[in-house]
Amino acid sequence: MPHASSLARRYAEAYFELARDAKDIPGWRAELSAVVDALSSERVAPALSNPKLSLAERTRLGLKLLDGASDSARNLARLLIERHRLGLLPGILSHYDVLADREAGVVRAEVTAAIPVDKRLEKEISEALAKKIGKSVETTVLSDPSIVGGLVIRIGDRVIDDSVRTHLQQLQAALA
Amino acid sequence: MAIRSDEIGEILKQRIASFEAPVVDAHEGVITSVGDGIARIYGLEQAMAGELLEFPGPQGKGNVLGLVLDLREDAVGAVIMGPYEHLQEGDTVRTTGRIAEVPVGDELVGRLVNALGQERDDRGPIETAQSLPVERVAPGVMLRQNVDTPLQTGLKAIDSMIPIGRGQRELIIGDRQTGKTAIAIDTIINQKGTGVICIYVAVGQNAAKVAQVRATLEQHGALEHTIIVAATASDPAPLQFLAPYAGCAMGEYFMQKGGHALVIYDDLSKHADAYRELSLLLRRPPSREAYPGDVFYLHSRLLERAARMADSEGGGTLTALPIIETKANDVSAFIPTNVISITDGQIYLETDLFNAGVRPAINVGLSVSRVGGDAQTKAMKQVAGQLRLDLARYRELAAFAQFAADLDKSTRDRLERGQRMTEILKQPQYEPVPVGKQIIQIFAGARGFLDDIAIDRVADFERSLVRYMDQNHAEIEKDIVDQGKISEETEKALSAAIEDFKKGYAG
Repeated sequence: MPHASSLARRYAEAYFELARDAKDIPGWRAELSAVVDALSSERVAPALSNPKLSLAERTRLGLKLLDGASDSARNLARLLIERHRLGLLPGILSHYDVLADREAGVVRAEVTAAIPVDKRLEKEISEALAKKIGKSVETTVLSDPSIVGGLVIRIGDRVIDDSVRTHLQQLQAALA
Repeated sequence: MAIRSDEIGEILKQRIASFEAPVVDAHEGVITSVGDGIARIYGLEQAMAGELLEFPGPQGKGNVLGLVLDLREDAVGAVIMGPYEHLQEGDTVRTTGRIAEVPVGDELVGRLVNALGQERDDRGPIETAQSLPVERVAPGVMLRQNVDTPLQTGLKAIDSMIPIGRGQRELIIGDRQTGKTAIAIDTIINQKGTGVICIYVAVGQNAAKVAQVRATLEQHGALEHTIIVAATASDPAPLQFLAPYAGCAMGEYFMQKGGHALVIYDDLSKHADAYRELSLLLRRPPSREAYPGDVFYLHSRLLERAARMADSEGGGTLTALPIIETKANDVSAFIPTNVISITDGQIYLETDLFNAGVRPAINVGLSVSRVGGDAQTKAMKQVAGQLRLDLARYRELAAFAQFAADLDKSTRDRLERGQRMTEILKQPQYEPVPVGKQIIQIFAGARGFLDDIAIDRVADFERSLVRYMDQNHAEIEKDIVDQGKISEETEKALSAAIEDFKKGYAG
């Protein structure tokens, strides 16, 4: 997940508040995601920040790529082109997701296990987590044999680590 | 490969059996930049200011601790208290949920530790039952009372004219090589048998000097009541920054118990330098002399923790003797003026005096103690008043008299008296004088018994007098100490005894 700079967060918050007022958070996310896809590609981005082209021309070019997008998405793109802030787009999108999750009261957890986790176990884990945190949890399961056994759960920057690897390291430190 | 004693099977078995593997529940961040002992860490949204962080240790070693000093919107800045060369961008850092703390307790007494309270004298691990946070808020107004018990340094010049009370903050200031540390060491030696626990905090000193201080204390039997906290010049700046607070926390433990502690910070100039280094690396804006804006608070919050607690709080004391090194006698530099204004007085040492053979090289004109007077015994006050007066008159005349060819008798007498008084205040290192003997010596000078003794014989006279008094009139010293004042009878007896002694003294 790209990290959202404080600047990107401001744009994301503004766009998100508009989306919330329009009561269409998923719809506006799709629009935003389309803008990111269209304007952030390696081929398009340099052209849109090329100082040899006039601002009007760059804006026209950018908006042409967004034919069919909603007005608000187009306006956001225009604003970013005018302010030379196109680089913020991925950050805006990721922070939009954070805001949307917060609005919905959803917490995303990344669960790492040493063995593949089946659906039933995953459900059990996310229910246990939801109980512990008091919010609904959406889990993504990864498998990483290097943790040897147990689970490592990440929620934002919080880590709950009950892996055999970490316990072995603790034992090593205790005996050192 | 030799088997170490802690690798004996039984011990290993015990440690493995008693090993508990707690589930790690922490916040994790990623290092975005690292260097010069400073790391910037992305994430760690929940980190607290002053919280300890766990950095991965070098290959095969335990974790390295860090300290959060900077909280920003996206990142925290932390100082790394240990080796950092192995750390890389992308390494993960975990919070510990603990504010920086050091072990405290009686077990530390007699030991040499670093700024984190870990042993550094190869005498085995230190197991204490308790820890205290390194940074604490100083006791409030209602928890304190006035300083009223003397803390005897054993130095005549200080105990008579710049008295220090338990719970006071008295600055020792002077250029390099003027005997600042010597005063501190003498004071520690003189606390033997008084129940005052001494904590010597060495900040940015070379390790050889710390070793020397430790050896000196050991030689004079003063290590048994002393803790040495050493952050030497080769220790990273964060440890040098932390050491005075750690030493203070160790002292506060004794104060809280209702006991008495004395902390010596040697020296706060280097402490300010270490903090300047950290602040500049953390990109805080520099102010005067490139010190950060909060360098005053750095020292004021440390020294404010020295206190004399109210009787309801146990009545313990923590006395602080900070040391400041000036450059070329410049007391108006930033750090010296700051610390002068924080403390309750200063002992001012001068190179010129030192070179002229006045040791301790205390400038009694510029040195003051703002609260210690209340703590002085009445007996000392009775003799010190005359001493101060004689010396003030002497100083006034001394410079002027250098030009005058012939002086009238009264001027000459004043000069002669002043020279003898200065001579009385000279004192060899590591020979603290008990307060009763100090009073007898100063009494002899102030009442003019020395006026007909040659100046170069004064030191010998004083020594012989004390020996004579011990052998023939030990009750006089006892009277003075017990009564806390010189009564009329004692004064008569003392004068007569000194007269007697002078008759037999072949000066």
